[in-house]
Amino acid sequence: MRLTGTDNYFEDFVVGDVYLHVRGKTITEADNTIFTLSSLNTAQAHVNTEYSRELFVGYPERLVNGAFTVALAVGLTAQDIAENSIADVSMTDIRIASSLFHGDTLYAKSTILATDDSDDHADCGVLRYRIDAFKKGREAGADDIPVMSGERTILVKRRDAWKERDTTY
Amino acid sequence: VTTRTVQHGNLYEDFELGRVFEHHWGRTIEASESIALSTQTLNFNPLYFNREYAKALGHPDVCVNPQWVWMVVSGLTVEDLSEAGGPFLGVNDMTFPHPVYPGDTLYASSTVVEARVSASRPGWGIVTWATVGRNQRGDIVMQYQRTNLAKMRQQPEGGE
Repeated sequence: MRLTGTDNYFEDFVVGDVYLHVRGKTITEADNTIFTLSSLNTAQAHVNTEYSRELFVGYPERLVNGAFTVALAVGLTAQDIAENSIADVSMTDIRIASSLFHGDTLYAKSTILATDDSDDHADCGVLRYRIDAFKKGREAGADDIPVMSGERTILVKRRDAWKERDTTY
Repeated sequence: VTTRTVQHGNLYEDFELGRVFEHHWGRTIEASESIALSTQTLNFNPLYFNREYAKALGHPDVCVNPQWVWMVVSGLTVEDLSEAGGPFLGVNDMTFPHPVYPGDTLYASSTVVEARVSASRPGWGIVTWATVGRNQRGDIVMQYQRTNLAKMRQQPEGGE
């Protein structure tokens, strides 16, 4: 049985290519509350509306947990880029450009930055890509609003090493 | 009878360069939590939610999604580092040197590596901490540097 795609092996990624991920996710109150508190994140701004409104002028509501925003941005890119990944290596240059609130919908695009051999895994390559997560402007035709950006490096299966093996699960 | 208000968190002035925090609590990771985060963030790699696939790739169980490791390790740091502060600005040099499996228990510690007063936002500083997450055997499972706004104890007159 084949469980993962055949068009997202290491060989399929070309430096400079951009992926516009079609799936977005509307962030719910449940996402923010459950993942904030179950990760033992005690910051009041994520779970106390009154506190959030006093923190900065213009905050209408509880602020979405930035760690969750990063996790969601990575997730939105995952099937297209990392479905055949066997491990995460690193992330860096993670920046939060604007605040998110419940009901905001996050989208992501990915840009392939580098494809390198792996010293430790001959059957994989090292893929580095940039994630740009954004929400859409409120007005029709408005520019996207940047929310989060970052670079992620993963180990991705090479087709020649894995295509047959990947039919055997 | 005594009535107390117990304050939590630290302010900018508490973050002297080089200060080390051994964070509280620790957290045992269950498969269901990592699977919940993976599925609710559309992170569709079966390594995170198909045990048989993960075993075929050489793991003893599903792999805990590194994004859940990040959420828990950073969550453990919040009371000491950022509960009293503002939103986080950025993270650099995040690495995942060792996989995490269900049943592992994570701990976190942090060191203040940079602290300066914000030029644009009176009453706030900008602090960077180097954080290390370890499992119950002391293996480093993740590390990163996080930069946040940190509220100052000394607020400007007529400020926020």
